[in-house]
Amino acid sequence: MPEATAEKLSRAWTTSEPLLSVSDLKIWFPIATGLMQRTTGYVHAVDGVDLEVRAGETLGLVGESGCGKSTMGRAVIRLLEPTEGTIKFKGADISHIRGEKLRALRRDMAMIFQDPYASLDPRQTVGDIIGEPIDIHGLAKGKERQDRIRELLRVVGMNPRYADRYPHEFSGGQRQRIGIARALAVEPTFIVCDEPISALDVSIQAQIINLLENLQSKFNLTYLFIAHDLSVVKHISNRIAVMYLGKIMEIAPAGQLYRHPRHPYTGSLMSAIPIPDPAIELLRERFILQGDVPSPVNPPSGCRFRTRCPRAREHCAEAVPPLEAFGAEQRAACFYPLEG
Amino acid sequence: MTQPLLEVQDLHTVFQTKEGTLKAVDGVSFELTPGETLGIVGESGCGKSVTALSIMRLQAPGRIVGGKVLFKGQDLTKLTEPEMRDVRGKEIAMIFQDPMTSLNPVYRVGWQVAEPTRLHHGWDARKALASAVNMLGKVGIPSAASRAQDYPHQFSGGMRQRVMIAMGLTTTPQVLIADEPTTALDVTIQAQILDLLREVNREFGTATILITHNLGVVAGMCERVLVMYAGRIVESGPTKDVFAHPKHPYTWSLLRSIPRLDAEKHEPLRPIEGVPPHLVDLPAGCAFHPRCAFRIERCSRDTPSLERVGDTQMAACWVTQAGQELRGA
Amino acid sequence: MIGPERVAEIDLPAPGLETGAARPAQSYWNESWERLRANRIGMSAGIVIVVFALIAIAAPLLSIVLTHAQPQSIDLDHTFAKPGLGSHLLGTDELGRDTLTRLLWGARVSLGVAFLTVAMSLSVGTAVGMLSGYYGGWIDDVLMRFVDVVLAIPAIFLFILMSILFRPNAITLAAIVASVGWGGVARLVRGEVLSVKQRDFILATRSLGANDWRLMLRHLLPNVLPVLIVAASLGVGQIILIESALDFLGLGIQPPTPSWGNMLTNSQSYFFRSGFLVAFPGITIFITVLCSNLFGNAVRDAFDPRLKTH
Repeated sequence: MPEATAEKLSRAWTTSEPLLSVSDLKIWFPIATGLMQRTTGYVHAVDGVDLEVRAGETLGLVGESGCGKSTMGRAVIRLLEPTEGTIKFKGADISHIRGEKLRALRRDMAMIFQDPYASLDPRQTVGDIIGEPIDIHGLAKGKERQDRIRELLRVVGMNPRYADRYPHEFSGGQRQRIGIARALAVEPTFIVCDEPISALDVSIQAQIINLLENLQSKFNLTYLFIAHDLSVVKHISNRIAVMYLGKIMEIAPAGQLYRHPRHPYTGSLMSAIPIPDPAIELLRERFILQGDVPSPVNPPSGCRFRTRCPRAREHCAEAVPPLEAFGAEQRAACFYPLEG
Repeated sequence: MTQPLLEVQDLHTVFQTKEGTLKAVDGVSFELTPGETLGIVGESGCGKSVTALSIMRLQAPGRIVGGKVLFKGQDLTKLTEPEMRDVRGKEIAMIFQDPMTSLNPVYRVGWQVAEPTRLHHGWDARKALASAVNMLGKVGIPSAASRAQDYPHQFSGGMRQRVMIAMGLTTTPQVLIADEPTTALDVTIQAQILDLLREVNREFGTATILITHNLGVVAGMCERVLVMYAGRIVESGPTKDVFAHPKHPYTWSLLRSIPRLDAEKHEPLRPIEGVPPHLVDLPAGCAFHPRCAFRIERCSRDTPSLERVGDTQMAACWVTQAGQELRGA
Repeated sequence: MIGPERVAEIDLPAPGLETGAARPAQSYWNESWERLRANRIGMSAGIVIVVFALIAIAAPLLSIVLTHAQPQSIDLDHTFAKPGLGSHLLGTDELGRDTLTRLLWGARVSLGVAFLTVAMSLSVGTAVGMLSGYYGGWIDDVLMRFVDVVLAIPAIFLFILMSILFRPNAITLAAIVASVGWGGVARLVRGEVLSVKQRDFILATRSLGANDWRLMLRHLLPNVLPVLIVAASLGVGQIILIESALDFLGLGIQPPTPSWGNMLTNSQSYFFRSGFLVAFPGITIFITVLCSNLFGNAVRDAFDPRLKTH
C-alpha cells in the first residue's frame, strides 16, 4: 500500500503551516417550533472556536455532553456547513466547497465513529464495506481492489479471510477495526476520531488505542481525537483542547494540562476523573462542581462557565474572557485562572 | 465478627438462547456485611448485572438454577413472588444505569418517589409525599418541595439519578444495589453522584453494592471489591490490596492496560490480547486462560475455584494459588 | 508518540465462529431465512400461497386434465349439482358451470390482481417515501401533502366512478387499487428511511464521498427492504379482500370472467338452493387471506431485530 503523505501534499502548502486551521467557527442549529415551523432559536453547538491542528500531531478534544466537540468533528470534515467562520485545510479554504472539490476533500480526510454496531452497514460484507471508498473514488478495480482490501484488513490486525463475512458476526473491537480499515481505504492525511473507544470494553480499548498510534506513525496521519475520557485523551494526544458549551476553555500540551491546568473547568474535570489507585483516590482533593451544564440554546452571558465556577466574580458575567497565553504552548480563557 | 447481611452461595443463573445455554452467573459466592460498600467490577458480559438482578429475583427471562441468596437468614431464591415483592424496594433497593428511562414519564417525580412508602409502609399520600420531599432535599435537589411537582423530563440526567437514589432510600433499606449508576453521566456529574452515594452510606449506614466497569470508581468508593470474568468471581478482597497487588492475572493485566491520568511518561499501553469468551462456548478449564500471560498446562484442564491467596485476598487461579507472584515487563 | 513496531495480528475467530470449521458467511438474509424456516405455521401458510399461485398459473391446463370443464361452459341440465366424486367435484352453479373450474380460473384473477397491485403500490410508494425521507425539506413537505391528499380520497367513490366509466380488467383494476394504496406504503417507507438515515453508517459512507444515489440505492433501500417484504406479504391478503368486495359489488371484474368475488355475487340469491355456492368461494378467500396474514407475521418476526443476539 503506497505511503499516503507524499502523494497528497499540495504544492501550495508546507508542513510548517498547520494542516487544519479553524477561525471563529460557529455552528448553530435552528430550532423550529409551532405549526408553521418557524425558527424560534438556535442551539449554539459551536460558538466561536479558533483551533489549529499541526501535521503529524494528535489534538485531543475533550468536554462533556453538549460542549460541541462532536459537532466540531463533523464540521472540520465538512459533514456540516459552518454557520459562520472559516475552516482551512492545507491552506485552502474549505468552508463552503461543494461538488467535485468536496469529493476530492473526502479522499484526504476520514472519520472513525463511536458506535461499532451502528457505523457499519449490516447488509454489506466486510469486504464491501472497506471496498466502498475504493469504488467511490475509483482507486482500484478487480484483483488490485481485492488485494487492497486484504492488505487493509491485515494492517488493522484482522485476518483477511474475514472479508466475506458480515459485521454482526464480529465483536465490538473487531468492528471498530473494520471501521478504521474503511477510513484508511481512501488514504487520508487527516482522521477525525469521534469517541472511537467509548463503546468498547476496557480490555479492548487498549488494543485499539495502540492500533491507532501504530497506524499514525506508519502512515504519517494527523488525528483530531474527540473523547470524554480524559485519561485516554491524555495518553494519545500531543495537545488537548477543552471545550465547554461551544467554546474552547483551555488548550495545552497533554502533560502540562494535567500538571498545571489554568482554567477552573479543566481543574474540576481533572479532579473528577477517578484514578484506579485507592491510595490516591482517598487522598485526593475533590473539586466538585455544583449544578448542571446550562442549555446551549441560551448560554450564560460573559464566561459560559461562570454559573458553576467556584471562582466566578461579577466581571465574569460582563465580558467574555479571551484565550490568554500562559507560557509558550498553553492558553486559557479565564479572568481569574488557577495558579500554575 | 458481624453476621453477614447478605450471603450469596454458589449462585447459578442461566439464559436459554438459540445457540445453547448461556451461563450468565456460574457459581458466584460472596458476603455483604451491614454498612459496607462492596464493588463488583468487570466488563460487559461478565455477569455482574445478572448477579444483582438475581439477588432481586429480577433476572427473567433468565432462570436461577442453583445456589442460595440468604438475606437476614432467609433464602430469597425460595420466596414466592408476593413474598419477594415485600423485600424488593423495602429492604433491598436497586438503582439502574439509565436515568432517562428509569422514571415513568407520565407521573410527577414526587409521586414516584413516594410510591415505595405508600406500597410498603402503607402510608397515606400526604405523609408519603412529605417524606419523599424530605428525601429529595437530602439527595441534593434544590427547592425539593416545588421540584417534587415536576415531571421527569424537566430534570437533567444527574438530577434524575439523584431522584432514583431518593426513591431507593425512602424505605430506609438495608442494602442498596447500584448498577452502573454513573456510566451514562458526564464525568463532573458522576463525581457529584458518587459523592452522594458516599454520604448516603455514611449517614444511613446502608450497605451498598456498586456495580461498574470503571476501576477508578471502585478505587474511590468501595472497601472491598469482587472482580468478575465470564460469570465467575476471579478475585476478591479489600480494594487497596487488590489494586496494590492483584492476585489474578485478569485483574493484574487489566490494571496495567488502562491509561492513567497520572502517568508520567507516555508508554505504549499493554493490552490484554484476544477477546472475552462467548458465554455459551466457554473454554475448558479457566475461562481466562486463552488470554493469560501466566497460564500453565493445568489451566486448560481444570477450572480453578476461589481460594485464599495472601492474607486478605481470594483468587481463582492455579498459578497464584501455588504461590507464584505476578510480574511482567 | 512512537507506538510499537508491529501490529499484533488478531487471528482469533469471531464469537459464533467455530475454531477451524468454515461456516459459510451468515448474512442478515440467511439468518432471517433460517428463522422463518423454523416457524412451521408461517412456512406452511407461505407454501399454501405459493401452491395457490401455481394453481392459478396452471388453471388452463388443470381445466383440461383435471376438471374437463371450462369456466364458461353452461350446462343447464346439471344446475345446482351437489359436490361429490364424479364430474363436478365441488358442484355446479345456477348455470351448471363447474365450481372447481371457476375457482381455479378465479384464482388467476384474484391472485393476479393482488400481486400486481402490491407490485405497483410498492414501487411507487417506495420511490416517493425514499425521496421524501432522504431529502427532507420542501421535497418532503410537498410529497407528503400529496400523499395526504391521496389517502383522503374516499376509495369507494373512486371505484364507483371507475365502474361507471369503463369495465376494468385485471390490469386496470390493479392500477386503480394501487393508486389509492401507494400512499400507505410511502408513509411506511419514509418512516423507515428517517430512522435508518440517523444511523452512523450512513454518515460514515457520506464522509467517504458517496453521493445521494449511492446512499439511497445501496444503503437505504436494502435496509428498508424487510419492512417492504412484510408489507407485501400482508398486502396480498388485504388486496384480495378489497378486490373480492369490489367484484361482489359489481364494481370490479365483471362476469362472465370468474373471480372469487363475483362468484359470490349471485350466490346470495341462490343461497337456499345451494349453500355451497357461497361456501366454496368464501372458504377459498378466507384461507388465502389467513395464509397471507400468517406468512406476513412470520416474515416480520423473522426480520425482527429484537430477536438478534446482540
